[in-house]
Amino acid sequence: MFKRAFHTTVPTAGKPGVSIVHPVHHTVKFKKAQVSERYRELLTPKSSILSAGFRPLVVSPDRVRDHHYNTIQSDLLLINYMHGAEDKKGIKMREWDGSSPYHLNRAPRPPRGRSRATKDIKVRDWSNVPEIVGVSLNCFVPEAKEVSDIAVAAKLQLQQITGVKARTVYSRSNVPTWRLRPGMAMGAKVHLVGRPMNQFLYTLTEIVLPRSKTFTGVSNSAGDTTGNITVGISADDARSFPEIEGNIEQWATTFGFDITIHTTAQVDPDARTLLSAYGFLFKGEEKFPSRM
Amino acid sequence: MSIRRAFSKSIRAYSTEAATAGSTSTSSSAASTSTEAVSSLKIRNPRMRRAVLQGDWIDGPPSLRTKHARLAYNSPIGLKEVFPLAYDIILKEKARHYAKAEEIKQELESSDASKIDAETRASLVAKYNKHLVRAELNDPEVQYNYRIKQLDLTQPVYRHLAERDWKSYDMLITLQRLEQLHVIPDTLPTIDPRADVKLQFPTVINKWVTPGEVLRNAVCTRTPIVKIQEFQQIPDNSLYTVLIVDPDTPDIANDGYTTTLHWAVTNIPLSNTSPVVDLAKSDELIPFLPPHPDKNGPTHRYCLWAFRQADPSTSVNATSTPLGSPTVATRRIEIAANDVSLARENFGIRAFVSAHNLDPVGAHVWRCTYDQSTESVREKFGLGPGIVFDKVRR
Amino acid sequence: MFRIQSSLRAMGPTLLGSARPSVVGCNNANVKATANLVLSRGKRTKARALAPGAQRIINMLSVFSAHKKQPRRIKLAMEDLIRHNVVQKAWSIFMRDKKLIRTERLKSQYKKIEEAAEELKSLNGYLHFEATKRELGKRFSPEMRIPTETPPNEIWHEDWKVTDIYAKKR
Repeated sequence: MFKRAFHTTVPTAGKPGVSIVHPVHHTVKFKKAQVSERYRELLTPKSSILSAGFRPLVVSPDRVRDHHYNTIQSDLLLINYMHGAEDKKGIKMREWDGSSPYHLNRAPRPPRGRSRATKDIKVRDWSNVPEIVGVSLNCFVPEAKEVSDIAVAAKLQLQQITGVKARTVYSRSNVPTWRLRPGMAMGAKVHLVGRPMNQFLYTLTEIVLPRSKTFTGVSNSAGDTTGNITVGISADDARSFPEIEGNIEQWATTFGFDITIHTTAQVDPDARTLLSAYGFLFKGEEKFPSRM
Repeated sequence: MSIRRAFSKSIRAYSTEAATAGSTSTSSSAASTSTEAVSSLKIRNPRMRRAVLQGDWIDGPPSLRTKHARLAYNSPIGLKEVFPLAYDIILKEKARHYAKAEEIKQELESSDASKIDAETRASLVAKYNKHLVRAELNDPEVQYNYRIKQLDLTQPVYRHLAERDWKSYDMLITLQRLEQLHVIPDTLPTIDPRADVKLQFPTVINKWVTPGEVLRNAVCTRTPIVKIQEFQQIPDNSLYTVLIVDPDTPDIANDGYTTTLHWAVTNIPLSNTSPVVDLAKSDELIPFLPPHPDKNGPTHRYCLWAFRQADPSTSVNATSTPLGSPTVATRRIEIAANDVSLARENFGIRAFVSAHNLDPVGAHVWRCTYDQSTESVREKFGLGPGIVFDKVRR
Repeated sequence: MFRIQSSLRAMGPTLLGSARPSVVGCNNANVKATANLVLSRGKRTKARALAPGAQRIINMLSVFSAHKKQPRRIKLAMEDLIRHNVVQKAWSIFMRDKKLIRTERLKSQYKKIEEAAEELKSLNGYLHFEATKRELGKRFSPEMRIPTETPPNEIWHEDWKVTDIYAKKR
């Protein structure tokens, strides 16, 4: 008649969860806050103006987004077109054949000669034209190990540049010879989407990179093979962001940081083509994966 | 301000674009013709209607009670200018949904309709209802009526809104209490909740009993008022059964508990608009027995179950009502009052339900324990002195 | 602020000027009896002023602080709440329709590319091969700019040449 779900712990690592909490009978699942009169107000969706976290949908025009939809998108569709293309299957993890009872719950093996599986490459058509979905800035300051306040300045710099609240990053490893302990503030990071992302991108490509004395282009070898490209910005270049340059006397020290541009491109060369439309220049020899 | 201006600008551009492109959506007049007849989709109060649709008021929004509040209130800047454009889009969307619903209706009523199998028909009917709901859901007048709780449950959109409200809180509370108190599975194995079952006692007017509440014995002496609200469309005079059982009656001989039947009513005619159980029109098989727990005994659970008297024969050939609900509960149950299966003591609710092919759609539970008023209740209804339990069994 | 000061004080004397123990105002009789107490909170005197380095960090931390940065919730009358929701909904319908149009346009473009390639294939195999050959490492022209609302007076440098600026630097 209907499915009955049991109240369970979260299944992890391919193992089933365990039913431990009474009642074990739920036909309808719900969160605790839903049945508590006190917390119901917190469940108001942020899209509602009644919520404290409400933000208006549109606050200003976005020329970068418009440029993408008006110009780049259709060009990319044509550039990426391959006649008679078919989906290319990635190399997957090897499952155990089940010949032994011990194969149950055993983690699958990585592909032969590789450490991890690769993604399928779908036919490039109108539904998957690459676009930039996010930009993350990561500022790691090794000196923060000695003087922890430096991480605060790094965080402020990212916040100042992007207009989005940054998060402190903490060390996780324990290296006694470097006097590094887990939990030390080591820098900051921030992830941008939507308008702040586009604003950052055009500041970068129209103001910062053209004025840089050391920047000679994004390396053609940068990329994580799945369409995310990383660029480094030096501490000097960071000074030419208008938000920093405006009151440069307040910024005794600036920090370099890494910019990772997340795209929906399936392979790195596609992502580079996309980024070139945004005004990024590339340098060095480009290598193409065998499967693309 | 600039946002509003940009928005109105782009929307104006959009509406002219849609007009020039000669889009397939029918004009907004089509929407108004299909809803003109239904007055419950309109705001009754003309002053309110003007306030909601035109933002037009004398000293302030009429919903604010005091004059001081009305005078102190300021509308958001630009809302008045942008609203007509937005409302136009909503009306176009409404017309689109009605056109889609009309298409499905034509398909179901056409000559080829007999070829459609039951599964496709069910999905088409669901789609039809979905379009009817979506057409009206964002209408400001419907939203206003919903906020002031004037829900005409003959309309799909109000049924949808009422169901959404019920599912967000009341249903969850009921389910939680049924499970915590082990009404499930002590009485029936489980429940697929589809109807909002509410209960109140005539002694405490205008207060529905929260599921799981412990009530005083004096409160529960008279026959309860039961409301069974269905959210899907049901035909008028659909038939329902209500049982109240107490699974905590001590059974000393067997060192356990038995179930006692406190109330049994069958053939209750209900509809979407008249959801309250009317005993005059239904068959009360077993009159209501007030709770009267024994002294020092456990707290008793009084579990109310509501059943559809589903008729499998009529629900299969529902071709006569192409857009009606798939479930038709019109089967009458004829049970003699002296039937063996209806004995108050040792009542087997599971056997009864399977014997009469009942479909549980909702449940409720309240609790009673021995209190100051129990003796007077026993005296008033002639229920005998009752047992007094002790730590040591005598 | 007081908590930040005390935590900075714990860092050591380098960050602070003359770190003097301050007592927050209270009615304790013992505290009253002792002389030379500063019974103030948050009041900054010259003697207790922070070192410039510490003050700078406090300024930075106060930028992150969410205190009073959340705008107050707008109180709307019921009529305006309904009207606002209508506008909000209309906007999402509007955006959805725009997206649909965009997708449809891309879809038809893709279909046309496909048709043209097929037709070329039936006419001339060589031309088809050359036309549909995959161009690896394709780049948009570096002169391409994201259009602005305020374009420059001189729109296009007609006689601009690619100079080997990068080669010079290497």
